[in-house]
Amino acid sequence: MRRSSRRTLLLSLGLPTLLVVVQQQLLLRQPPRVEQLRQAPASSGPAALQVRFSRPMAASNVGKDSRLDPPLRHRWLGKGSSLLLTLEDGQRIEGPLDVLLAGTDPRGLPLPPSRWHWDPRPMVLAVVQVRGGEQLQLRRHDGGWKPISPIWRSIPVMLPLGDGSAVAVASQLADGRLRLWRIPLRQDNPRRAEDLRERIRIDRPVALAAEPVAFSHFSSNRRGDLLVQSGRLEVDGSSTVVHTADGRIQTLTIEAGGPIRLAPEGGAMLVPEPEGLSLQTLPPSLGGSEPPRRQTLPGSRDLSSFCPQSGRALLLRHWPDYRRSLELVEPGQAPRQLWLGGEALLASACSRGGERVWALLLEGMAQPRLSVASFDAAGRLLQRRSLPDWEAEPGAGLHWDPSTGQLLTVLRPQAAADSRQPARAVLIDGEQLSIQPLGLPVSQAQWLPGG
Amino acid sequence: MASLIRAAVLGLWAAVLLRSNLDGRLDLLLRAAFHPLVLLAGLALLIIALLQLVLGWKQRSVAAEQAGLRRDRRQALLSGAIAVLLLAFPPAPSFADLARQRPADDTSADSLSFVLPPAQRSLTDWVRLLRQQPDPQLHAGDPVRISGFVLPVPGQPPQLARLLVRCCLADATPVGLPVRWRNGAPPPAADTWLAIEGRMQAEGDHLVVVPERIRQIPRPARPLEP
Repeated sequence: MRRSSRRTLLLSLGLPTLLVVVQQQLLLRQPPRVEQLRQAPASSGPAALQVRFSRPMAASNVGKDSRLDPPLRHRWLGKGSSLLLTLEDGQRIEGPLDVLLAGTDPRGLPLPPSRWHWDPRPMVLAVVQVRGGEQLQLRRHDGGWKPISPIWRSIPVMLPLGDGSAVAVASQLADGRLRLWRIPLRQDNPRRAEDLRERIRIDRPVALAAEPVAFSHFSSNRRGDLLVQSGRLEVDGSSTVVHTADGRIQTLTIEAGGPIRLAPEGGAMLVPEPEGLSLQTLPPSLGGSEPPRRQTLPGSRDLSSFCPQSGRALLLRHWPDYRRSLELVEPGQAPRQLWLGGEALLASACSRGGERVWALLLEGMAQPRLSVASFDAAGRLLQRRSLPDWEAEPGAGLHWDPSTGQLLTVLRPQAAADSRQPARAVLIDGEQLSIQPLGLPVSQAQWLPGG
Repeated sequence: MASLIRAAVLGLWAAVLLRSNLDGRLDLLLRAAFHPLVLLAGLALLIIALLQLVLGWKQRSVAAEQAGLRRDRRQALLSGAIAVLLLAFPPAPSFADLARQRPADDTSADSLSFVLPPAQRSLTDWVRLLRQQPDPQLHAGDPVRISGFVLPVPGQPPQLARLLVRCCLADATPVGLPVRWRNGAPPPAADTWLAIEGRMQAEGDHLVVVPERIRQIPRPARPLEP
């Protein structure tokens, strides 16, 4: 072999080898880093934080060197590069938390310490009655209200997306038709301690449909997908469209006998049908599974609320003798009856997988009496509190927040027969069932997930 | 003559590939998605072997072939012997031995299926779910119906495990669930395939499968999971 070709061969083999060795040595000395922090969708305690590192970390190691302020009881769970900081049950979160993340990887390389602000508490999002119509406002944790939409004539439908990235709104026009909007929100939660920007930034409303519609229904899941069922008065004017979190729009060809609800975990939807409730997977392009699955629960049942834990939900069953029952359903198991009675069950909520269940009940026809009750997982009544000074607001729902241990609903103060008080957003303590009305007159209120 | 030997060796290798497709031994080595490739390769080798046979028959008297025969004979016999051994002794890998030498799988499920009841989750579904939601209290009490092979874990009781592959056994990574084996009874032997019905139970910060029924089962036809 000639000298020049030997040199070429040595260079072509030697240079890549050198490059690989240099890269390997650099990576060996590279410290681990935090890649992503986000709130966990479900937790056995008041809240949990998912932390993804650039390489596997031992939970015990991270737990030893990391700090939480205020020092709430917590555990580090999981293994590999994704760990879970879960706050232990029985605590309530009164304010934002400071998290110091530190630790070493299995080779002993230290994770550079980083400080984060984390506020697991959701904010109250309400349709507030203002001069000239209604406006969407956000209640900050200091009690102040912040407008996040223009003033519209009326806002009959409002839904915060499950990942807190936007609010879907239907505003009413003068002719009664609805215009559909999406108000994007940018939440930095958790965010770096040195990040001084406002926690929530609001963008301009974006139209969800080109034409106004006669009716609409929204549903969202924790991924931030939005299902919009809407219809116009023309023949074939109804449509069911999914706006995915990554910006795609897909039309579903589906016949439903009522409002469709997306399953909180994503990938499936609950469809009311004449023969019962049907749980169906979404198409694979929308996160569903292949082959498609479908389970039908026969009987006269409505979905009352989803539980935070995967697969659990509360159903309202209507009996032929006009009684109603509240059932806890888990996939693959027969529904479990938690309550049966002659009262109207207006709304329900549950914690975790149904360990604690709350119901808003209305008794009597001539003089309806409103009450809120709590049950344990076996359906035993734990507490019931009458709300004699309040009337139920139709469709208000009952929304549970595990981080503060409070329920949110909308109630209207009782007034003399000839007058009508505006409704209020009301916080209900999950243990004592005591109520705390919030200041402004509202027509709807829901929790805005904290990102 | 050299072409005839070449044809025989190619034919043997075609037989190895085609038989692996037919008798299911490929399921132990390769994901099902790649099986048609092996079948096509076997057919291609068979066609080339037949062409070599035709060519060899036509050129059987050419003297130049003698030189080629001497050159190729040793290599051809070695290759043919390996093919015969593969046909005679199908591979029987020890998944437990393999799993001990491989890094654990670190992928988690993108989403949790609302529709899939806990009792219908496979061992792999469970492992991926727990990686995404490692809070043991969220799953304690859930029914479990899983199958897998017994994987000895140093310093701990054996786990029930599966091997995940993206392509073939060479990239296999193990996933396992801790099991609370019956007190006093010897732990099951490595590589034994078991079907377990039971419940999840929280033990400290971890979940463990508490069996209510354990059955020994034959190795599944397709033991590797994607």
